[in-house]
Amino acid sequence: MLLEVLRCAESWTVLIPLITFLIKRPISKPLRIVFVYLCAAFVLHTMANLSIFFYYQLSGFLKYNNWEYNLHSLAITVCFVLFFQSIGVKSRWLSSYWVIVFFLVVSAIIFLLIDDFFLISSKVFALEGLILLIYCMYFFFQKLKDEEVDLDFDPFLIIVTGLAIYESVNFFVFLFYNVLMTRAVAFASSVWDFHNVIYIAFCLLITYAFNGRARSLYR
Amino acid sequence: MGEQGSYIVSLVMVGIGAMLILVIAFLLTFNHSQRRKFRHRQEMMTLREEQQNLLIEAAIKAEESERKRIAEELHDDVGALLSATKLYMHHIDTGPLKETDRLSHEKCIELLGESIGKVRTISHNLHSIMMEDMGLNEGIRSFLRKLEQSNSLSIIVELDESYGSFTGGKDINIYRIIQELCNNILKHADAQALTIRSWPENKHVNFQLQHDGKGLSQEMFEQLRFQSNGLGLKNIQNRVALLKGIILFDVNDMNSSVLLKIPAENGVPA
Repeated sequence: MLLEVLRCAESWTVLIPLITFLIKRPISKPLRIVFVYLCAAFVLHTMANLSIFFYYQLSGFLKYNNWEYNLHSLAITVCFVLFFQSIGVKSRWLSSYWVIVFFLVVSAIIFLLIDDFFLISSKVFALEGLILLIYCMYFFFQKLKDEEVDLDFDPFLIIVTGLAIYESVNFFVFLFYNVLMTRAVAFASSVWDFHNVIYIAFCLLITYAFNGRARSLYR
Repeated sequence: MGEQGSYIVSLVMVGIGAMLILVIAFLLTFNHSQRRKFRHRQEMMTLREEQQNLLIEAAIKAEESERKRIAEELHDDVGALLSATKLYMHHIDTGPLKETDRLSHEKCIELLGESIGKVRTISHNLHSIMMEDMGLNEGIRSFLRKLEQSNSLSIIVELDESYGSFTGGKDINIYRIIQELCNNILKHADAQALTIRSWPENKHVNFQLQHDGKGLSQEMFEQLRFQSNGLGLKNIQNRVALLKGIILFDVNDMNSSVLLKIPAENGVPA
């Protein structure tokens, strides 16, 4: 039972920050981008879970949920690159929009020429992990370089910390998921449960950021 | 699961473990670095504050010694000269003088008396001998008595006697703040009644000036003290900072008040 709840975690856990956002209604643009991501994630994950529950009633591509995870990978990358741009994490020589275009073009090439869109693509997932991890590291290095230490509650720092944990821990899961699915199915299933646990932590950190307690992290 | 499968499982597990350790180590290092930066910034701020306080203290000390010197010169030189002139004027035989000249002579003596009084008041305002001899409360009372005599302002003084004198020249700073605030009330507030109270409270001694005229809100005070012509308010703020105290302005429909909170250990001025 607990395992079943954990396997649906991607759907219900997103509801926690979503409800917090609707109660608190933060006006900050970056937090609104995160809210858009959460809405997309909720729809995609719920559809993915419903595909499993109604497997025998559904037909065609709706029977399978892998394409929803592929779409989630695209959504999380686009939304968080925009999030990073809106909080000032951007390169002088490479616009965030070009990063998004690059990611979408590479993903399209992968889906058209290499992988099947209706099966999980480790390559797209790994590319997502790589891009978002680079942005996370860039954010932290900018903070380290900054002479001023902000004493106020920083929701962006909390969200980026959650994202960094999620992407770094799951990077190897994403990278080898296709191989694991063919050579170690049971382990792949367990490792996805572990991914869900990390995703719960990520959503809780987003909730904490939305909740916005007015105290410093460093006091 | 084949040999290759086991190898990939191990690889994934090692990868997850390594990434987990790396990210935790990085976040801990980041947190430690930010804490260190914050501590360093606080130390720098304290140092800057100390230096600023030393400068303010030196400026205030110089101002006080200059006030004392001018007060003494006014009192001992100008005052003495005027008194001597008045004495000589009294010695003039007005008998042979015409009526109009006699009246002029009397007017001269009257004006000299007024001048001597004015010089004494200015001298006492510049340097309160009463405060130096009898303490802060008596100094404030003496100043307010003179203020009430020379103006139409009705003043009520309710000073608590349970605290003694403040050490380290704090008395003079409190006295000057109250003096400046009273002068401001006279000049700008158009007040009819002024009440001055003091009372010890926990680790502070509070002084409150309440009047029925136009007052300042805290926001107005913060704005005005940064204006170039707000020298008096700037001076008040400098002295409050030096005393490590707090000054709070409040204004409502009925009256306006200024609360001055000065730190005192166990209710005893420090």
